Amino acid sequence: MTDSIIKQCLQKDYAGNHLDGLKSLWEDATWPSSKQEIWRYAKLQWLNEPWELVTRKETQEAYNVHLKQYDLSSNETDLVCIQGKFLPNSVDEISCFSHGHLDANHVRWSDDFFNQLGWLGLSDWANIEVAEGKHLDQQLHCMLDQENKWQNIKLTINVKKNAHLRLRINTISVHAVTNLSINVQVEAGGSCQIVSWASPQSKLLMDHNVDLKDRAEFRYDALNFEAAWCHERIYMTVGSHASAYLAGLLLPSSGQSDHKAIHAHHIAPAGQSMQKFYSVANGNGLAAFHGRAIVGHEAPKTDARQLARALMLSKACEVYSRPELEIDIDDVQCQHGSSIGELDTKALFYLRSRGIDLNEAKAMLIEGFIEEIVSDLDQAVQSWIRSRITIHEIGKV
Amino acid sequence: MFSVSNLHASVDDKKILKGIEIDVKPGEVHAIMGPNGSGKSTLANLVAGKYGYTLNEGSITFNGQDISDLEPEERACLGIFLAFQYPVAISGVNNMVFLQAALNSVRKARGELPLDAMDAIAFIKERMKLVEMKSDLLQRSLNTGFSGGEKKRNEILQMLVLEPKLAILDETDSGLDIDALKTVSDGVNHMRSPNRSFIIVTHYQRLLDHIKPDFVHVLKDGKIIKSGNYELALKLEKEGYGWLDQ
Repeated sequence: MTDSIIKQCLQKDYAGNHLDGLKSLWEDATWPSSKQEIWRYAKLQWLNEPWELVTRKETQEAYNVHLKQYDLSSNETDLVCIQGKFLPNSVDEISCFSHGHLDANHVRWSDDFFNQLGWLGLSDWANIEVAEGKHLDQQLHCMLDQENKWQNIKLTINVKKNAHLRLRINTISVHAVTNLSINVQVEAGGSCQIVSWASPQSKLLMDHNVDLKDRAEFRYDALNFEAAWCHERIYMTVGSHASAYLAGLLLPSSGQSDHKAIHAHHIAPAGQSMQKFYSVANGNGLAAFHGRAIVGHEAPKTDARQLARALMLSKACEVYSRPELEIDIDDVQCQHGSSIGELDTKALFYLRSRGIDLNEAKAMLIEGFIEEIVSDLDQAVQSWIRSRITIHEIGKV
Repeated sequence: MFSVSNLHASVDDKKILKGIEIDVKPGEVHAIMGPNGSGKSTLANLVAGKYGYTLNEGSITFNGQDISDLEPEERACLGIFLAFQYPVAISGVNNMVFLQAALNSVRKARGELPLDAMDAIAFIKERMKLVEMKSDLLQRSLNTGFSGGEKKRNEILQMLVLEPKLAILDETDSGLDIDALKTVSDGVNHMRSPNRSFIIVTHYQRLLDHIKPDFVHVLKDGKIIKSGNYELALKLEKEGYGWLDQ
């Protein structure tokens, strides 16, 4: 089925018209296997033109109509979005919104791609603003478990001068698709840290825009490794002396795919950006990293780095890695590196020569590989992530 | 205890070993010397079970058992240890975690109970003193960022921890300064016992000043062309290998 669908996709030449071709294929496809293949192909296309499908002007306008702004200055608040609707949460264990109320807005998308395919879209929008000098530690839960539903969540985050936001986003959408879009603006001297993770078998499209002003700091940890599908795009502009650190772990096994498309645009002097993504692919899992750093004429003294490493544990898995640098000025420091390979046979022999059996040795090497990125993540999530990763499961071939 | 008989082996269809005979009895120390490319490391790796080496003819016997078909970990659990010429650095694998896993694998094979983390640390730290190894190296990734000397000390530490019956040291002296060489040698001498044997692969007689061998063999072009005692090593140091061709 995979081959035939890809052939059909190729015949229809999606370079010019993704939607029509995919739509017709989708209508004929059976759930879930064939549709998953279409997704896999569609997302590969998006990797090349990652911004096109997830920018919907009409939807943006609809959002704007219902735009509300909430001041979430309390550090005890949690955001909860259930079935596409942000809820003031009255459940005891989660604090309510303490300021204002949220005008949850269900929008049935009349003309978007997914609605044409029979998906009902549920949409809502919220704004987080962290006032100057304030600190906010926020958790966002996005839950959707209605089959063939599609929830659109849009967050606008504004971190004011010298303010700090730490946001942990957990997405649960097992039988549905969540489209999470975050627009982040970090003003001078502010910092924003986002940790994103998904519950097992979730299906995610994520589309983020990040604007870092002078001396702003941004940290993003992409840990959606348990998702069935995850396509994540981040477009970022880096201001003067601003710094951005984006790290991620991709662990696709059979039936799973995970794509990251990162675009860091340095638009002012002395900014720093790091993109560090590690993948371990098994079964027929698919991992893709497309990182780009653009250093414009106006951005001398930039330090832009990319590192993508991947382990392939099976013959059927797929890994795509494309770190790119586009530099228009001298006097910058830029690095990019990429490696894709199997487990190191010399290292395997070394461990085995000490009495460690093959499976244990493989597990240790996979764990060691993953540890290189885990130890680089936010301290608070390190133990959590280690507990979530069952190395022996990942290593099963 | 250990013997290889009429051992022929090749790598990528290139014949490296061409009929080697060695018999090592319990408690003996055998040194294998020879020029570059003579097959010393091939012999060591073959005994340890490294892939890519083809045994064309002959046998490798350990305590009466033919081990040539065994996996590397099975050989290790029988009590065979190879100290690598170039220890592999494995980023992300904690040295202590690795040592504990190796120790408990070998203990399990010996029918002993595994050591928990606390007991394992105490056991390993006691042995670290013998090779004067810095304790912070335990918490680092395995051989990652270690100096040449630290890697070799870590090899000897592993030997001290695993307590093998046969230890093969493949050019353990390479890259060691004089003090480190003595420390590493002291670690080996500490392990010498009537029940434990050593095969020491080296280019230089200086290691054998510290670890006195019972036998010295000269390996050249895949064959042992001369055997003797420590005096042979002294003669090789003084006169080289040329005289053996005459």
